[in-house]
Amino acid sequence: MNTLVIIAIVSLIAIGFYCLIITRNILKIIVALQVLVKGAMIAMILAGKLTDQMELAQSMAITIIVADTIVAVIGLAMSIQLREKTGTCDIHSISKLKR
Amino acid sequence: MAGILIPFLIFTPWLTAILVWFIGDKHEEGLHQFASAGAILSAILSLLLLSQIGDSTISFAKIGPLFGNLSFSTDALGIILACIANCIGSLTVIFSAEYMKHEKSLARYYSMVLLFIGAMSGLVLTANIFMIFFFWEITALCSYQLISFYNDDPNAVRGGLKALFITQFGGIGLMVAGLLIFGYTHSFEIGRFIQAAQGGEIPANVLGIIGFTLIIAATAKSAQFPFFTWLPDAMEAPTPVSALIHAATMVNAGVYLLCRFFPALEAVPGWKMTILILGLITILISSLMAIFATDLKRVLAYSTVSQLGYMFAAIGAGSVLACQFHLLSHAIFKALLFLCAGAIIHSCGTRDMYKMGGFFKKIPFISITFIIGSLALAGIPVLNGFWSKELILESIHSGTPIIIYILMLFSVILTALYTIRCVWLVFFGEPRSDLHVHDAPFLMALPLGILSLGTITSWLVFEPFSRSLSNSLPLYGIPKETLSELVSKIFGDPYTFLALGMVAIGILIWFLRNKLPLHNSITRKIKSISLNSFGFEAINNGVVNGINAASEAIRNIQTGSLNWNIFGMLIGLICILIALMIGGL
Amino acid sequence: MPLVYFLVVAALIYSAHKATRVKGLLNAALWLAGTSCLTSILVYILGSPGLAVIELSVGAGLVTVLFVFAISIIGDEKITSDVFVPHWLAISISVVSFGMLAYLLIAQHMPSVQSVTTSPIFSDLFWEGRKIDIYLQGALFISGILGILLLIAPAVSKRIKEGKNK
Repeated sequence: MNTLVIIAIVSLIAIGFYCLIITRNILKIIVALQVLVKGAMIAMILAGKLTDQMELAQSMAITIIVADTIVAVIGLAMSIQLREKTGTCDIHSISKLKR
Repeated sequence: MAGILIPFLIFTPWLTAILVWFIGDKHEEGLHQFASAGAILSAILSLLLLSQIGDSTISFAKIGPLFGNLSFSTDALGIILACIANCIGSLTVIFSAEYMKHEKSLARYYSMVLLFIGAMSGLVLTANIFMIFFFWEITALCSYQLISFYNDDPNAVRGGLKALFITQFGGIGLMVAGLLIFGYTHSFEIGRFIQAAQGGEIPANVLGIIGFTLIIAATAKSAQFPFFTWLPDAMEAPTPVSALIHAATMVNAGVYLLCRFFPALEAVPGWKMTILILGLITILISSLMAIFATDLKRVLAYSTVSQLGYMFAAIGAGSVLACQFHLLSHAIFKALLFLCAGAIIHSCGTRDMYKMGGFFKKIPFISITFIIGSLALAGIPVLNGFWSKELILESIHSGTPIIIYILMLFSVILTALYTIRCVWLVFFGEPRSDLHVHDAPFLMALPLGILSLGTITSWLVFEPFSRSLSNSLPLYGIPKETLSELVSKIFGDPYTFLALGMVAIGILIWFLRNKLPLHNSITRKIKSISLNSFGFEAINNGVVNGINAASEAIRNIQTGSLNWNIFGMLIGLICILIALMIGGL
Repeated sequence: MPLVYFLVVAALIYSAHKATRVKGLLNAALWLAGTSCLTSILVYILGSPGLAVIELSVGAGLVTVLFVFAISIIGDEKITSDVFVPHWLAISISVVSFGMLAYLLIAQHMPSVQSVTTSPIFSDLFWEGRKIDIYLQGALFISGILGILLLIAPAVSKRIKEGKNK
């Protein structure tokens, strides 16, 4: 049972990272970050269950949800602004670093 | 009291640097005045700190669980060097108010100079090895920035990069020594390390490695053999910067490092002999190069290298007192020489000595101050250079094999020779080309006057100097001597007159140079080798080119793409997991 | 009991995979909502009902609505630049690194944690013990939402004007 949850956590984080390596669309990046943070949150709850400190773990997990929601909200707003200003959603064409 | 003065001493120049940056380039007059005011304030604070010399260690906050305390020690070694750095720093800032008039990006200049002064005070006052490394790196940054100040000139940029790479190589030595010290004593405090080393808690081979990595750090920073080629190329910097950084303060950091760790490492077999031999080779090589150089500032740079070699030789002979006294004298007269050279170059526009000549009648004030400085350099009696050089020669004579003393006497001849050559070519003889020179304006003449006064009189403070060093550094074995003891010792020693005779021989060689059989193939060969810096220029240029090429190649992995960066993150994660699997199981 | 876990975990992994790999941004947002629901169920059966409710309302509610909002403003488009890291390399590195991590966790080679005997009441801990933290987060949350509304207001009003002009 714990093994299954560990597999779930690691898979979620792995899927999140894989999407971050692959994607070039800025909204997909935010989706990937959301998946990643969900995995982290489940990890926190599992740790609380294993060490019998569920209350502490719950309060930390609430902090995680708040942080991740704020990231999502601000990220979406910035991607809207980016689209308005540059007309594209592709992060490679926006980057001006000399390669 | 000292606990309040020391943070103020470090933060006043830093605060002034930040404010100068905000004032910007538009208000040039205000910049000059504000920077000078900040520098003078920190000089006053450092002079106040002289009254607080004791052997206590003041510690402020903890810098994290691993790095120990932010601690400062109030012993004489640090405070005297901090005074030198701040006072000469303030004089060069006053000088720059006139020298750097109407230059571009003055805010950058002043903020880097002030940042440097604060970092130098921090370097010598701190008692925590990690903080020494921190301030060391800040001084290296400021030195690089100031050498490449005229960043449109590719020679200046190249000189700055070369100085940075070579001194950073020394920084690696300091880091290795610091980590080893932490590994064996579990603390970064210097006092604890000295206690452990003298008590025998550190195994002998580890102590040897610490000693030799510290020698690498000191020789790279103080431009000794084999790292001496960065200092002559650093003369692309504006002259007040050369006076401050490359003559009076930063290059003393290497000497300071060795003096600070002296009681812990003097028992390591071969340590003192290595320092002595390195110093001696440096003196001989750089004096030879100074005899054949044509650029005025390069001659002064080579002479700085050779005088630092004298200090290294003093440490190698075991006398920290002689080394520190020569450091004090050298800082004053070398800053004087560089500032005079700056005034000359500013007014006539060229650095080539073979184009100058006959300046003595045209610019009497600068000539007199320059001649005072060069007399101190050569070691003529009554000036401060004489006393300190004789103290070094006496300690070498009593502590080391006789062959080293003979070689040192030979170097005294060479020192006198290049000094008189420099003075004669610039100030006497017939003018070799018609250059217009004018005497120094007030703001330039004021520091020159103060420094020449210091050159004539700074040896009088020998008694409080040695007494404070001896009282505040009980483990260092420094003798207390009074001034009359010093005078009688030096004038009573027949070897003193031998050294004076060598100076006279050097001056005579110059005046008789056309009559002596000097224009043969041997001198020509020596001349060509020394113009190539004995082959070390090629090695160091190779290193600099190699590093430039490597950094251009590594630039390709910085793509700015999110995908690539996350990929790199995962590779790092794999490395950590491999380490966990190997180590944790 | 393990069967429930197994189903929930399998569905969670499947919906996360679909959320990142499906074509079309709106579909991705809907699969993300599904992922939120399934994590909320998982958290509930792990023993934390309060958190499950919060996750459901925030993840499947707030974030999904915002996503749909943003997607309606931005619209879908094809990405035409080239890939920096080829697919096979990305898959292999994710599998390798997280496979190692899973192995270390499951075989319990990670450093172990000790359990604490006293366990306080949740609401006490939450509102008293971490008071400053929680108030700060609440303020951050609200100011974030207001700031976002300010940021995207010009874009939204422009769209509305365009809609009216058509």
